[in-house]
Amino acid sequence: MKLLKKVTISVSIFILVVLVFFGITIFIKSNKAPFDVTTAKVDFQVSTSELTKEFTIDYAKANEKYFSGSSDSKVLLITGEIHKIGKNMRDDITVLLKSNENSPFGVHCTFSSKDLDFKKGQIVTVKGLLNAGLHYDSELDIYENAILDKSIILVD
Amino acid sequence: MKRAKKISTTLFLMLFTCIIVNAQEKTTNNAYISFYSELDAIKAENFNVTSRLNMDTGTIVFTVPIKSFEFESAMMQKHFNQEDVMDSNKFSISKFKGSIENFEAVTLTENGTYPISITGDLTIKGVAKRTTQNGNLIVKDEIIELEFTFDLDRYFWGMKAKEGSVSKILRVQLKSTYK
Repeated sequence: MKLLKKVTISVSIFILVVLVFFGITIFIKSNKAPFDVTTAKVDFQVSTSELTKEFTIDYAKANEKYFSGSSDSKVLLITGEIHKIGKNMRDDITVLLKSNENSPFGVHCTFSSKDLDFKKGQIVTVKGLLNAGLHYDSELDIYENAILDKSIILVD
Repeated sequence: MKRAKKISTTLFLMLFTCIIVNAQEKTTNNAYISFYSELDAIKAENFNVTSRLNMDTGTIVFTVPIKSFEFESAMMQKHFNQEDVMDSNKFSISKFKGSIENFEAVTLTENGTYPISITGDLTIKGVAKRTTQNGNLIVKDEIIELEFTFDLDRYFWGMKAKEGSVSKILRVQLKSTYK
């Protein structure tokens, strides 16, 4: 009887230790895991032209739409024409989508994958995290592009 | 006489236009900022900084989209953007507007590393603070690079969250390239 009690306690402690270990591992992994855009639910689907219009016609309203509630970034699916291709200091590929050549505004998309081949004038649909809206800063006299981070290409 | 006046006015306007066109500005999206908290070894990086440098006057601006800061920990990144820290939904951009004080000592046509001092207003969460920082301007085959490393007191902007676990003074690194 005593032996049975001892075994039961030992097994219980063992199970508890295993559970705590897995719990801590899952907690650390979930906190360190980068956001997976591929499987993320799309919050908004727009064209570059529509997004530009929304922010230039009524900045406050557009800001309320795309940057309210949770501090988490909204997932955007955006279609537009590539006007500029470049790289940032980490060598990530960046493209600037614009509604037309003369627009001072664009959507600056940064891609995680380095294995992409873009051409100027190409129409693309990009999924990513919207981290800033289009904005004219009169104090700095600068046209701020919208920022789309962790971008992936959907259709090319 | 009238004709001579017309010609001189036209020449003056042409000269004035040339001066305006020659006021060269270079804008780049290829700028970077990071900050480091020594207390718990937290580092955040941002590759979406925009900057504009006036090559004639040495005036310079930087804009930093707050949500583009990347942390190793997803939880830390979420916390950073929340209302009690950066409130990035409300204050989505931090900015700097200033000028290179000793710009006359820089020769943009000659390769070299020039120590510079930059003074201007740093605006975070809508609050501006006058600041002067030292750094380097590097000219290499017509490409201009700026590099700054400085300390930033986060408490000045009311970012007192995680007091005691995140450093009060953050080490900031700023780099930009103008082509």
